[in-house]
This record gives sequence, structure tokens and C-alpha cells, in this order.
Amino acid sequence: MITREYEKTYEITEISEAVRLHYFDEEKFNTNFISVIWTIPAEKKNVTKVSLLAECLRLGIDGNRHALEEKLSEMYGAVFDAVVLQKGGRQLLALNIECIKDSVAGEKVLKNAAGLINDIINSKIADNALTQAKRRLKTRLVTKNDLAAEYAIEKLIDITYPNDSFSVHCDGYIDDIDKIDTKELNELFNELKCSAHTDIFISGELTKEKAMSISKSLIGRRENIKKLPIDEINICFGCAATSEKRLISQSRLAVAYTSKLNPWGKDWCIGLVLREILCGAGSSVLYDSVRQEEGLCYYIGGRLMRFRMVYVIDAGVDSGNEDKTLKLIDEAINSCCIDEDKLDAAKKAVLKDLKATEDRRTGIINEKLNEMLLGITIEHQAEKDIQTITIKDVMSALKGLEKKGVFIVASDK
Amino acid sequence: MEVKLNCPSGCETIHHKLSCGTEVYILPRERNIKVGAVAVNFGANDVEFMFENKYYRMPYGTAHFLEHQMFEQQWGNVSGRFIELGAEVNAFTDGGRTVYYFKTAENFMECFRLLLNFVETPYFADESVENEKSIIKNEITMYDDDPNWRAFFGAMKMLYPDSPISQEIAGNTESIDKISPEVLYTCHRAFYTPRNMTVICAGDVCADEIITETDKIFSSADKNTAEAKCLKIQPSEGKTEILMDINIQRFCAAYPIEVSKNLVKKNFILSMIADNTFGESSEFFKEMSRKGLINEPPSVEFFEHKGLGYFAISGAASRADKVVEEIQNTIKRAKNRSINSSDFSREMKRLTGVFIRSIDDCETAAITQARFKEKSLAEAALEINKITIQDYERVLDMIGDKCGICIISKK
Repeated sequence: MITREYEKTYEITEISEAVRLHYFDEEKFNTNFISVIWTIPAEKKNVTKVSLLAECLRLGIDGNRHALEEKLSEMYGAVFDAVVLQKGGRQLLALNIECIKDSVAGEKVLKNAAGLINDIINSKIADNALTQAKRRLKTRLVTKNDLAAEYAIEKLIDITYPNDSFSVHCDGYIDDIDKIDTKELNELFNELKCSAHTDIFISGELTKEKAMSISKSLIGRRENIKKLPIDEINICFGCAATSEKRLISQSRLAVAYTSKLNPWGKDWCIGLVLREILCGAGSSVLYDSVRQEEGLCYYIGGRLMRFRMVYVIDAGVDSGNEDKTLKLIDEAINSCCIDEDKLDAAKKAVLKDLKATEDRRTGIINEKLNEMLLGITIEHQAEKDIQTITIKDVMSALKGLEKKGVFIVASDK
Repeated sequence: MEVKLNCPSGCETIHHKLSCGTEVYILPRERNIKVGAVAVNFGANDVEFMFENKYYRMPYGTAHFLEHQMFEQQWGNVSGRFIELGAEVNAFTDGGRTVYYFKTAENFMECFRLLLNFVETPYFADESVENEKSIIKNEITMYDDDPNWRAFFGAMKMLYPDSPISQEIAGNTESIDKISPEVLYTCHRAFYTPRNMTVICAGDVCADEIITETDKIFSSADKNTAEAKCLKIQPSEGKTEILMDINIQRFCAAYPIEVSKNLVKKNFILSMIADNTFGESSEFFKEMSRKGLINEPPSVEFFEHKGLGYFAISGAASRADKVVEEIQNTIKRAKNRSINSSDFSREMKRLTGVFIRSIDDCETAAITQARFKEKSLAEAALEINKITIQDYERVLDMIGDKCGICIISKK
């Protein structure tokens, strides 16, 4: 059963305008966790700045990562990170700190962890930090492009959603990095702290009062709160298809199939069940037809991107087998038959994944964030919805799939 | 049955050795997902062995191929059966072991029985073996495009040329072609024996049931285990460069490490050395990032199996040759200069926290237990407190002077 055990102690409190504290009183993990998340629209003109800001914050105060790491080691190897996330057309900047519980360490680690995240939030970005951050971000972006598999998926989204903020690269653009200075970055940081939608997640071995006090200390003056605009979907006309050549041993393909399902309630569950049938772990329609029967690839997988309800299927194949693989994927989807056994197995797999979400802090936080950004206000009885899914539901979802994009990084060896 | 509760939170372990020789570890956790695993002491490096008074030399990639093929049973593919039970099954092979594991929220004991039974039951049909060859060749080609992977094995080939440890886990296209059902049956019979396997379960599971079931299934299995050849090869040194279609250089510098007893404690100390010498708070990283040569600390890997071990430092750099030179100088300096007590005490705290945090997750805990095969997590956690500065210095001295280097540059 999906226990949603965390819901029993989960409380959400608006502690300031558009600032919410999400508190979970749970002690099953050996750690305490604090996360501060700012959400803004993903806009090309700003994303690189936000990404650079994350890089600067990752370095700690005054860009002294050396000193920060020493502090984290003293806190029993606490982990601090500043990460940029993308959810549909929104860009999220998250500051996270996780440390082992005071009762495990035998000393007050949480107090120091809260102090550290507070100091970082109240710090200013220094020139030294920005210089390092620029180098780090450039390297990260360049390194990312070296991996053909990731590159193929990013380009697929670019061509499928050319005028949609979903295709804005939230980790930034190399060409924009050098145009940014510390003044701009500090202004942006202040703007985020004052006016961006803010969610603070605190969970672990602490009371709600303590969590409240920590979260209030992380918040300063609030003004000009900006309403998040509607995350509009803007997809290409027809099916966009592009390929590029690269000196690699194996071609990488990525294909996008849109769905007519909604990203919430039973529709969302049907989407997950269909994903499992088509490209789930182990045995699936595409795994069986492309890998096991034809031996065309080692890896074929797929994901359902919830904020656009698009299935992205990707595979690595030998040069010359690209068209054959694409045809097989199409055929497997178009001729897919679902019987009760297949449906039952897929439902079980989806239930297992949802239960696994509860075993991870980040899983719970991610689920809460998704619900908020999608405007889901009622508690979703996922298990009940999954149980009522029929073959007809899944077949109807399958029929609604539309191929909207293909991107190939072709081996030119 | 031995129950270890007097240890840091989250490390509690139930340990039992069956009469057939199998070690069983149970890691109780209050989680939705339960994990069951079987770790076989047979990995990619075990290509030469004596079994039933006969010497065998198997093709590279055999252990990994066997891992893939074990999923094909006479009655069909094992993954499908696990999926029917609501579980997900997976496996991996490294230099010294093959681990099969499943994750599930329901039907744990059915899944557990299925796991033990399929690991114990070989079925290698000609057609299936042939089909698997093309899949594995695809896997090899996929890794061919990964510059980090190429850098690592490039350095290993410089350090231990012509040794199994420098070969890719999956072998190569020529060695794969030499694998036949007969090769697979021999390896299964030689290594998949009760005393060569460890059973690990984590989560909200019943220890008694697991022990009884393992005993029932494994007690009738063959008991003779092959003796894999100890890889006593003198390390070499050298530098190689590989050209790839990349934007930023990659490097790997691999050092030999002396093998020794108490692998668990040594692993912990190597982790401290790696962090203190090359981590984000190290002088090395501070200096290299100040010069703009690297922007992320290098990753450090260490491994030891049957007489051979390595300590490998790798990463991305704008001037890889300069970074590698500095890695070599840093290792030399570290060996001549002891760690000071405040750095040591900070590293000890970090190690304790990182270990406890990592095993909070059932899957990671089970995989870690599979790695620490001779000690339970509870015992391992207690080992941390016993580490001294002298131990640290001793392990630092076990890192050899020779170095295999590989640099991946833009074509």
C-alpha cells in the first residue's frame, strides 16, 4: 500500500507572503534536511544568470569552497549544494543541506547546518566567486555536450518545443556567461529573495517550532511578489526531425511522442502505466522488440516528462541501424497489444515506484513541488486510481500518442 | 545467528553463516521498498582458475556475459517474472564480483526464492548466447564513446598491460565471440557455489524466513568452488593519448596499491586519503582551480582483487598534462608528509557521516554490504573508530610509485 506516511506529519504553513514552510516530522532517516527553493519563469534572458548564481552559491561565502568543505567535514560530512532544476517552463534554484542527526553524531550538527545555509543566503556574491563560477559553468556545459546521449535529448526538446520555455536551457548558455557581472548577479539574488515564490522544506529530528524558527531566519524583507505566469505549452507543427553527425562509435537517437493525458489524477497514473508497458525497466514492448528480438541496441529507455506529458524514448544503435530502429519503435507502439497480465505487471511496477518515492526525502519533496506547480490541491489517491485502470484506458492513451520529434546524433566513424 | 545492535544508528545487522558456506546479512530498515541481493565472488578479473584439478583460461568478458545470460531461463526471461510479482530485478559485474538484486514493495519472499533459484539454475541456449553477443557488442560500443571510461581503461592498460584488471568489464568484440554455452556452464559450476555467494537483504524483512529459505535452496547445490588465479603482476608505467570528438580533455592517473588484509578498514582509509589529497578542501584542488586548470575536483576510485589493486584519479581539465603532473607531485608530497591531527580528526568525522548517510538507503546499504563481504555493516562502522594516523600513513605508503596515465584529447 502507498502509505503516504509522510502526509500524516506533513504541514504547510505560509510564513510570509508567497513563502511556504513544508514540514515533515519523520525520524526514519539518519539525517536532517533543509531545502530552500525559489521558483521563477524560465526565460532565456535570465537562465544563465540563475545558473551562474547557483554556481556561486555552491562555492560558499566569498567563493571559498575550501573553507566551506572544511566546515561541512566538521559537520560529519554534511552535504551542501545549490542546484538549478527545470519543471516545464519554470526554473527553480534550490539550496539544500543534509547532515546526520544530532543524536547520531552526538553533537549539534543541525544548528550549524542551519547557520551555514543562513549565512550563504545572506551573503553577497563576490568577484572571486563569479570568476570561478563562470569557469565551472563553462566546463559543465561543454562536458555535457560531450555526451551524445544527453545532447540528443536536449536537442530533441529544442526542436519539438522551439517556442516554448520548456526548451530554454535552464543550466544556461555558454555565450551569455561572460556578459554577466557581480552587480547583476547580486541584484538577481536580492530579487529572488524578496519577490520569488519560495518553498522551504525541513524534515528530520526536530519540532515544528524549531523548523519554523529556522525557516523564518532564512527569510528577509518581502516585496513586489511576482505571480507565476501560466506555463503555456507551445509545440512544433507536424513532426520535427533533425540529425547531426559526430565522430562517435554509436549513433544516439531520441524520439518524442506527445500524449493527450493530463499530468494529474488518474490520467497521470495511466501515463505512468503506459510508460511502463512501452519502456519500463526489464521487460517492455520496446526492450523486447528492439533489444531482445532484433539485438539492435544495448540501451533503450524512455521517460514521461510530466510538465509536457511527452514520452522521450532514447537508444544507442550501430551506425546504419538508425532508420530501422525508428521504424521498429513506431511499429511497436502502433501494434502494441495489451493484455491483463501486461497491464497488471505495469500497475505493480508503477505502484512500486510510487512507494519508492516515499523512501527518499528528495522523492517526497519532488512530488510536493510537482503538485504545487501543477496546481493540484486535492490529495491524489494514486493507489485507488491505478487499481481502476483498464486495458481500454491504456489503449486509448496509446492511440493518443503522436510522434512530434526525432533527433539523431549519427556516428560518422 | 549474530545480531549486531551495539553500533551507530542505521548500521544494525543480522549475520548468519549457513552450513553450506553462504554468508547471510540482513539489514533491517523501516522502508516501503525491500531489497534482496546475491553477490557471487566471480568478476571480470577472474579469467584464469583451477577447478576440479584442471586449469581454465576464459575469454575476457565472461563474468559479465554470464550475468546477462543468467536472466534467460528455460521457462523465459527472469525480468518478466519479477515484474509480475511487482518487483524490479537488476545485476552488475565489476572486477571481483557479480551482484544480482531486486527491489520490491510486495511479495518479498516469492521474489527472494525466485532470485536464489535463478542464480542457481543455468540455462544457456545457443541461439540466446549468439543474440546476447550482439547486445553486448552494442554495450561495448556505447562505452567506447564515453571519454571518462576510455581514460580510465587507457591508464589501466599502461599500469597493468595484458592483465585482466586493465580489460573492460564486458570484454572486447573478439573475446565475446569466443564465449560459448560450454564456457558459461563451466564458470557457473565453478563459481556459483554456496560458499562463494553472499546473500544480503535490506528493509522491513523477516530474518528467520530468509535464513531458512536460503539454507533450503542452497544446501543441495554443488559445493566445490574454483580457485581463481592470484594476479601477481608487476605494475608498469607509461602514458598514452587517445583522440576523441570531445570539447574538453579528460585524464586518468592510475597507481598500484599493495594488497593487504582488512579490506574494509583499508577502503575507509583510502576514502580519507582521496578526500584529503584531492577533494574540494584539498590544497591540490585549491591550487588547480586557482590556476583555472580544473573546475571540479577529480574523482578517485580504488579497487583490490586477488592480488592486484589500483588507486585512480580522473577528471576533466583544460590542460590535462599539467594536472597529471601535479597529481604525481601531490602523491609524492603526501607520502613524505604526514596528515596533521586536525585534518585527520576532520576526515574521521566526514567519513563517519558519509558512511552513515550513504547506508540510509536500502539499495546502497545492500550494495555496500556486498562490497564489504567479510564484515557486516555494523562491524564496518565500528572499524572507522579504530583508524589511527599511523594506519593512515601505512595505507598511504601502500600506494606505489609507478603510474599509468591516459589523456583524452580533442580529435
